[in-house]
Amino acid sequence: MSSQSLTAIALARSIRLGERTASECVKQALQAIDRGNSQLGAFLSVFHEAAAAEAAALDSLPLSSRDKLPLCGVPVAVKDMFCTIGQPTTCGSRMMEHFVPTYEARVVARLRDAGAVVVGKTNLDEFGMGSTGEFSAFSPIQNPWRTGYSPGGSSGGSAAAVAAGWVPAAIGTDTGGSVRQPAAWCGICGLKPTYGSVSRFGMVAFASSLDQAGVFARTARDVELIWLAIAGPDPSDMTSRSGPQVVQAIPPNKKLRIGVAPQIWAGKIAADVERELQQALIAWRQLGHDVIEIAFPHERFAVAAYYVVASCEAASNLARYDGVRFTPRWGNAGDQAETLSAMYSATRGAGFGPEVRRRVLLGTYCLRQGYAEQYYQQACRARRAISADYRQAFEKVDVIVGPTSPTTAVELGAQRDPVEVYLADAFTVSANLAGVPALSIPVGFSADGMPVGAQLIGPPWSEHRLCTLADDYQQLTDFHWRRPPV
Amino acid sequence: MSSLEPELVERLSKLAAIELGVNPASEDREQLFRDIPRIVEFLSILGELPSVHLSTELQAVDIGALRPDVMNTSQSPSDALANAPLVAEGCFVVPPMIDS
Repeated sequence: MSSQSLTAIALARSIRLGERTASECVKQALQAIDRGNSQLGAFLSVFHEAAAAEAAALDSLPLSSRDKLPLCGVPVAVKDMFCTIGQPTTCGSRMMEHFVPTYEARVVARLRDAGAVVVGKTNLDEFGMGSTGEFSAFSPIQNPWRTGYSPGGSSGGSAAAVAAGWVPAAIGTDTGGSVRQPAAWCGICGLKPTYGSVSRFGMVAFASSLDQAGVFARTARDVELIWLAIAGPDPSDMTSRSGPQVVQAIPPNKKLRIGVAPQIWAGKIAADVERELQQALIAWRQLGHDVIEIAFPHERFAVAAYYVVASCEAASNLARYDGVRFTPRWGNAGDQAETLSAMYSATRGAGFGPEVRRRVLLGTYCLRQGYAEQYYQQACRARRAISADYRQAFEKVDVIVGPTSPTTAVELGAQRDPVEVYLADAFTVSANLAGVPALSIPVGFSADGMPVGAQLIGPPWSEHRLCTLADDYQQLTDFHWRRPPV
Repeated sequence: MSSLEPELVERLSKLAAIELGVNPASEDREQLFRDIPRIVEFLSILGELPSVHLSTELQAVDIGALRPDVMNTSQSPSDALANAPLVAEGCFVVPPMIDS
């Protein structure tokens, strides 16, 4: 069986047992990327030599040492928002085109400590801002299920790489749905973990109170394994925290209470998405879980609150890109500017793409003197209210299930109203505002053959519960194993 | 609130230090003049949120106390300068700070 047909768990086990080598698995992944990347545009850089060397080093370890590596020899792709020492980290932006970090993101270091081999960095919407992959400064990303369609965003390259079968797992970032929505559109699993469970050290900041590293894989069990490998407190990230060190196993056949809030999505999602979501709920009912309706009174404020908080934080975080610390620098006469302020404006005007500048300007608008109460403070109040909604809901249910995205993948290049694009994030942003974990899993296909995702949301540190409920479903279905035509 | 004048968008671009019209790949002024007011109008829904008894504390997740304020090793000066476009004698080099 080809290594590309295996889960990360099975692949690591077979390498630990000496049934196959890390070198052959990494070579197969690199060959698949080389064959398909010109079509999909999923990778911005591929680490041929470094990955081969890391794999060879793993193969030279004695079997007893490999036993300690849960991801031994597993090829993994990482979104180009994570610093990789000595390797380019572009954030999908002209502003960072030549940035080569001198330090490693904690997520990348922990992947390597667990035995994973990073094979390359994936394409994305610039600085994580966008939901179609079209805002990469370098190339749009294609959906492996149908070229000409978006893989979702902003972690679209990571999702496309896993969906295409090139790697069994990939890392993304999720500020408002940037792991879950591309997972749904590409027919794979995507986890946004509990805020603070994974260190943000070395993950380029977009909106610091919302950003969290996330995981893509085909199966929920793979997602959980990789989350456990990258999670844990880190002195370099003061918002990282320790959670349950040992995952409490959920007893077999334990019946969970699944909350649904159909008033949130009624009339707002495509008929195909509604149909497949209802089918998934029927499957969970048949497994013995209860499905209970819950209220979510402040959900209608979520998208506006999110775009105020995220844009304000982006305006602040992206102030550092000014032509002083990072190359390139632009001026109004070649690469020379007459004054410092002219150089700042010219560099930021030339370096930032359309969505980044739109959000920085929006954040600047909301933070103007005399307007903070109207926008930022009010958005923070909405955030508190939404968190309270979640706390109250989780007194009644164990997990909340709903759609991940209102639609399946959209066509690339279509002109869209910015507010309509932002409203498409309606089902994902609230988990970021409340800091709770959420997992998107494939639950079917539209009539025209595009994947549909459903989202499972739980209270803080319930990743194991979410993955167990998803695994129950994946034992009954094969949507996660279906392969796109690419 | 919904009637944003183009002059305001120009002023925002100055506040944010983003010169408009220098990146041909980015939207032009007219697109921004259309988009920003449209988004701002949408954000006005936040005015309907009852503000009484709701904290404005940013973090929805309790993240505990800040770390102790102690010195430790961080980036070396050479690492901090490694990606700068222009350096000299261990410093960033920039154009004049004061307009002539």
